Amino acid sequence: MSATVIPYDVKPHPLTGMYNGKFGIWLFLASEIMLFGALFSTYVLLRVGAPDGTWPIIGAETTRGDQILNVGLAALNTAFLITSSVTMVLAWANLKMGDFKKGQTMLLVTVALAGAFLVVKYFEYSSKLHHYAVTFDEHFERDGVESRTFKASTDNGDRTIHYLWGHVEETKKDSEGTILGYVFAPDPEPGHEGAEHKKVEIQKSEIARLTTWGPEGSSFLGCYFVITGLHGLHIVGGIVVMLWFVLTGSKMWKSQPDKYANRIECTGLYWHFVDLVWIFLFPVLYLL
Amino acid sequence: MSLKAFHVFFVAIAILMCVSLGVWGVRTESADGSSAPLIFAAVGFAGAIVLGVYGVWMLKKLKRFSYV
Repeated sequence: MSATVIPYDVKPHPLTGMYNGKFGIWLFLASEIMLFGALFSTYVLLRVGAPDGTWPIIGAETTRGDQILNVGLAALNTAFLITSSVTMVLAWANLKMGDFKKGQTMLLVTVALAGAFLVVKYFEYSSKLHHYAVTFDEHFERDGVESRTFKASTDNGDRTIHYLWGHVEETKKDSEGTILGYVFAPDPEPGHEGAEHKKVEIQKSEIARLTTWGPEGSSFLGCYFVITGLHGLHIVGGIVVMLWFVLTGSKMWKSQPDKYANRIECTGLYWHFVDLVWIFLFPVLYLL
Repeated sequence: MSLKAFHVFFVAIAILMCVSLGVWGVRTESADGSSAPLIFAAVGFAGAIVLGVYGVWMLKKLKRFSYV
């Protein structure tokens, strides 16, 4: 049985001017642009249509995401991804110049930077999923803690919303496990971040809605988790592919070094696209 | 388009993003009066300069690589 030979995997195809692998990865990236483009469009439309004071979350003073997101962690992640693009190009360049060891080392550094990005993202997600917004039907005041007020204009007329942001310290339950209420630690008022953290007990019957700052928290947070989650999955995909080449690359390098360098170039094109998506996500979600 | 060409495009966009972060930091007032936005501004402008220098170095290093 003869082995099937895939044509133009090293030399350029006469019609496209590039080897088939590169042509294939560009077609794939075109579909990715449509995917992320649709999500960006969704974000813009939801944001433009959001009533005043509800974006990024009910009670927000401005529409900027930095009120509820951590710009410092995002900037750190941006630095990780930009550096990983540099190491990715250096991996490819070293392989093209015949230095396999340096090329593989750079590929491994790229994997490490991608892993660091995911670790930071874990801490960012975790802080959001452990932060709560509690809404009351009426004004709430107890033990020196007072609900904030937000006046929302809806299609059904004006509505006053009473709310608190903070952390659930303890869940109060009866002997059968039914939730009776929560010990809640509200966030300090803006401008009083250094003040002592208060705690207050809130009965379940007093709460209109209790939600985390997870995807269900607001339209903004829904967009944030969907888009950054999908981007995170692309990072995981890139790590898997790069690790595969780190672990198995030497065999192909010995027999077909040009083909191996081309594969790393295709991986690098994908990786640059993933990094470019983040370069757009950072200002759109965190700064604007 | 080769990885070299895409990388040049990527670095250019990254420089623009760093400048944007710098401008954002200068124009943004901190809610709690801290100097955090100004620190981000400094990091953004410094990042743009570092990336610019890297871009020139990278173009020299990859001189013999094709853009196609």
